[in-house]
Amino acid sequence: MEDAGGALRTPIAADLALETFVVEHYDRLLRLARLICRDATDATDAVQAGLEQAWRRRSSLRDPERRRGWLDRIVVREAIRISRRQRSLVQRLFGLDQDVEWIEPAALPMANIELRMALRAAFESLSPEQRAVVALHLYAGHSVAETADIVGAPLETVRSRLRLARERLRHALEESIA
Amino acid sequence: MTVMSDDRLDLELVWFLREEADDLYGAPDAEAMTWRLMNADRSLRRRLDRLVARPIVRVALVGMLLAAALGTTLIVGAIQRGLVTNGQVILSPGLVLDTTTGKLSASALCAGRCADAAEVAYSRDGRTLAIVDRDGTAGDMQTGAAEMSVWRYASGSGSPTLLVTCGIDAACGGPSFSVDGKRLAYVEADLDPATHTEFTTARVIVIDMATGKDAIVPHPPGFPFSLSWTSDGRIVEVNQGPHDRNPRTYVIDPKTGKAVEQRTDKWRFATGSASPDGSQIAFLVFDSGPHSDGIMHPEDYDFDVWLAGVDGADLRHLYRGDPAEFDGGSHPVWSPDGRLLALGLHPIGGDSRVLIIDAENGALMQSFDSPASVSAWSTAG
Repeated sequence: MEDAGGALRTPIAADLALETFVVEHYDRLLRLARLICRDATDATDAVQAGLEQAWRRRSSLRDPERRRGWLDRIVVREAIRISRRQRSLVQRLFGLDQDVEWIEPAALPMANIELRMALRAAFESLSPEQRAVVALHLYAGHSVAETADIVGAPLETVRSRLRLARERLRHALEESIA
Repeated sequence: MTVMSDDRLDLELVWFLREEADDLYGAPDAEAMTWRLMNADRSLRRRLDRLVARPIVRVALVGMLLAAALGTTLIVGAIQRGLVTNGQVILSPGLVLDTTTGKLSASALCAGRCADAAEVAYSRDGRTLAIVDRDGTAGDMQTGAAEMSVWRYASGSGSPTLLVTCGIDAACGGPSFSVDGKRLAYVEADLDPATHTEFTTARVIVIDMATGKDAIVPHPPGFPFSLSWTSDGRIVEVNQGPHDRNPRTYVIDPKTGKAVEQRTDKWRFATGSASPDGSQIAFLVFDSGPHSDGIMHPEDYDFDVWLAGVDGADLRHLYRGDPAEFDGGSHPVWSPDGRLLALGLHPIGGDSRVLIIDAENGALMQSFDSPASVSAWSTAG
């Protein structure tokens, strides 16, 4: 489908290769972006923008083992950019706070619902950069150093963001349990 | 209240994150995303974006917009008076912040292209201006730098002269004029060909503004991202470490290449910038104590501003902030008269906040929420 330089022979081959590329990475990237963005729509936009960039530059990535980190980096940065832009525009225009309402399945025990509501409120009160480091470290399984590399921030800053995020989430959990 | 162990906390968080990540109501499936991507590539908007992304088109647009904006810019007032007084704080995306009222407005300087202005630097007499446009293709959040143009405004005349351009073959940023205005230092960086998302190698370049002659200044390992000048012609460089990306501040002699790290027993990592007269360096410190046990202890974490002479003498503590309120910030930005400092900080759970503090006694003068970090402090006009 691709020659040695990554160039595609025909439009049909290009479409097939793109489909394979998307199927291989889309689900994981969408879930990662969803943790950083406030909803699935923003997450979809972030993944679409990230995949567009990645697809255009795919021939420049010569080491396939680096592909996962490379894609994570592109999509996480898009997700942070979109989250910051959305929040700042909405806050400036409407002065909205960060309270959200949602409906939980009735089958869940009340204690679990309250716990999850408290965690979600605390998680959404974090900055996009903090949500990104929490998602990359605790959800995607990247080390702190890999997380720093992906978000392009100093190691100290990433440690600090993780520590502060953990403190806030711990507080929410402990209050909810109490 | 129940006290939760670290292991239990992480377990709860992992379960929570998995549930949150599965909340994808409304997101298209992979097949629909493939279709979107195929069509996006063919859209007119995409073609227009690509046209505007071409360096030659950007340079032409910058030239036209600067000429149009010239008559009303805040620079002209300072030029005509020949005075250096404090104006407004310039934020990264081309907004200006009134330091008295906190009111935000679009920068006249950036009329029509505010979203692209990433950095601005003035000579001390306010007559020469370096503008860095953000590059939409390079995606590096730390620098955001791409094309730079330097303009000279003759006193009493409305026509600026283009002196220097940079960024056609590499990304340029971090411009800073020497105290006497005769030299300009900036960072020129190469994009990593393997990833196209990071800058790998970077050089500090000094241009003689009279002759246009340039020279590369040796700098320590790491990525330089902020430059300023001491009164005796040395360069204060903030450098992201090559391995951990933690910021370090160096004073470099351009003639010998000798670099001295500005590190004390008060901090390990700091961003520093020289005052307009080049006699002092202000350091913004976000640092934690030793964490050999792998745990970040809240009581060891600091957010401080320190002031010192350019050789480290007369070190004094200027301001102590709340480390639970902020988790980082950019280098301190001095007011043109050297009496105030603007700190662009990253609050927890917010966009940005700008603190204005007195550079003499450390008193907090103002605190404003802001949609972006601080780029520069203009002269009045």
